[in-house]
Amino acid sequence: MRCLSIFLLCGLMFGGEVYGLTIDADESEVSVHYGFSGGEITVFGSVKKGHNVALVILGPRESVRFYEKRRVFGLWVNKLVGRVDSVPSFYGFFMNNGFLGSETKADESLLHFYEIGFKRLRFLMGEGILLKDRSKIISEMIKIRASQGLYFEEDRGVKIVNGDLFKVKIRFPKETPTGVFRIKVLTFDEEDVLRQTRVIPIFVRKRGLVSFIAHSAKLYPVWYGLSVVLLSLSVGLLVVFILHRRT
Amino acid sequence: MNVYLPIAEISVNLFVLLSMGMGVGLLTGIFGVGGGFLMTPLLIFIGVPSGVAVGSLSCQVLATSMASLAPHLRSNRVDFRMAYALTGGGVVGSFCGVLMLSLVRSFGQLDFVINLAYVVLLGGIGTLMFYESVLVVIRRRFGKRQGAAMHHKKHVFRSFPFRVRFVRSKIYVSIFAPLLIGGAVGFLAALLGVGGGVMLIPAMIYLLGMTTTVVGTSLANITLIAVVTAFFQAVVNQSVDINLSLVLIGGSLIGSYLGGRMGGGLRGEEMRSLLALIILSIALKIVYDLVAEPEELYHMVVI
Repeated sequence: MRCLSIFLLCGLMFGGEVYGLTIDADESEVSVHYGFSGGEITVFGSVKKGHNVALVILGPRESVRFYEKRRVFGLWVNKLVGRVDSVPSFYGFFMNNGFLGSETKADESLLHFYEIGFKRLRFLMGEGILLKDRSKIISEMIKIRASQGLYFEEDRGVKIVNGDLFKVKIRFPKETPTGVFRIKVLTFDEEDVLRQTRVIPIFVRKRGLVSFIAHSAKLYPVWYGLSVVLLSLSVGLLVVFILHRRT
Repeated sequence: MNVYLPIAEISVNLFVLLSMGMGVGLLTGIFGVGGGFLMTPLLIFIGVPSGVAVGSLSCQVLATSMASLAPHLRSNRVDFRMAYALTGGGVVGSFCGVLMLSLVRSFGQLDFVINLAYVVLLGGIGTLMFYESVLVVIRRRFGKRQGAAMHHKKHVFRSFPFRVRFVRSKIYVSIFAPLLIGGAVGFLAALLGVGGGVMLIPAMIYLLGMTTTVVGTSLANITLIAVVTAFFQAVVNQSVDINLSLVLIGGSLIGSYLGGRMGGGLRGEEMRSLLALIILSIALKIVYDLVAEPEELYHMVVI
């Protein structure tokens, strides 16, 4: 909120109107800690009066194997369809008043470039994927991720205050993957012509004990394995010791 | 209150996990089985990836079997020679199970294989237990002699070479018998995240003809196998979530303590038939999941 007031102050100093697009977030990091149940950050900034704002947040990209369940001898078995690369692990799209709807005059190639909306998300089809299955696979992948709360679109998610200040609340569900996220903010004028863009990074990181455990398990599996064995054995013995003393 | 599981990479409600541990622990206390076979499907149900569920449960099995083993050690009811022989086979079996898990995971068939193995295991054991306990109840009701026909059967391993004397258990049997039994149990234990007591005890009684040291020896073997399995799971599959294990250990130890105090009210056969029914209903649920058309026909796995 402190930054927001600085923006307001700047606005007043420069004659009540800010021309350039300036953005910031109240937190630059979402920490995944022991009791993590989701997080939230607020992105805000100033924009020229009358301009519209769109915001896209993209999580780290990953490769996935896509499976379809098929019936074999009466049982449902996974059948590998193929591999898809460059799949965003997290995607959110926000705009004010749904101005980039179906009747937008904006340049379609630019909207594709900035991946505005589910239908313009870019995936790289890898081995095994047939051209005819492409759109079906993409729509199913988006459906799966949306049901997990990892992909979402909010047509009225950008709130414009006083005509030149905007604010977007981004919620991170508890299933949010970790890594570097990119937030792209774009402003469009009254004719839906793209005017300005800004990008800021947001870090979703495991912190504290959670980070220690995850790193040890990955980097030092042998030591981690020995420690979990010793820990489990000692907890078992400790309980026996306590119960034995009581009885 | 949520707890984040760093390996499973999900956040789950602490009280749900604790009460699951306690529920399964209660069954352990009442029925005397480890309950791992109930825990894996429950964990998968609340969204823990099946590989992590199986890996983390090996630690829970380790702690609970160690806690149950301690009194048997104190009263010297463990045949260590037998336990080591079973473990010898078990280590190989467990390693194969862990490798098998990693292989089927790479084919994207992890859930299918685990579910299928559960149906075979639970269906088999549930049917046998139910049949046997109902038979005993019927015989008692109609005043017939409770025959122990199984004990008089010729042991499968009688013709095997390299016989060894197991003094504490008072049996003289081929060394291959405990090696093979241990191997099979270790394989399933690693594949399913169970201790294996539910398979091992019948095998020791009916296949090896052991009587006096069965429970202590099987616990010693389960503990040793769990040490190996937990270690392999951590190193090969990196699927042991110690947060998950510790919460489950806490819940199940409290549960089994309470269950042990409650368990005196029911007769052995009635208790066994009740447990058999629980086991069979879980097996039926898994069969239904395998056969019924799934809600989601598609899914994706991050590489």
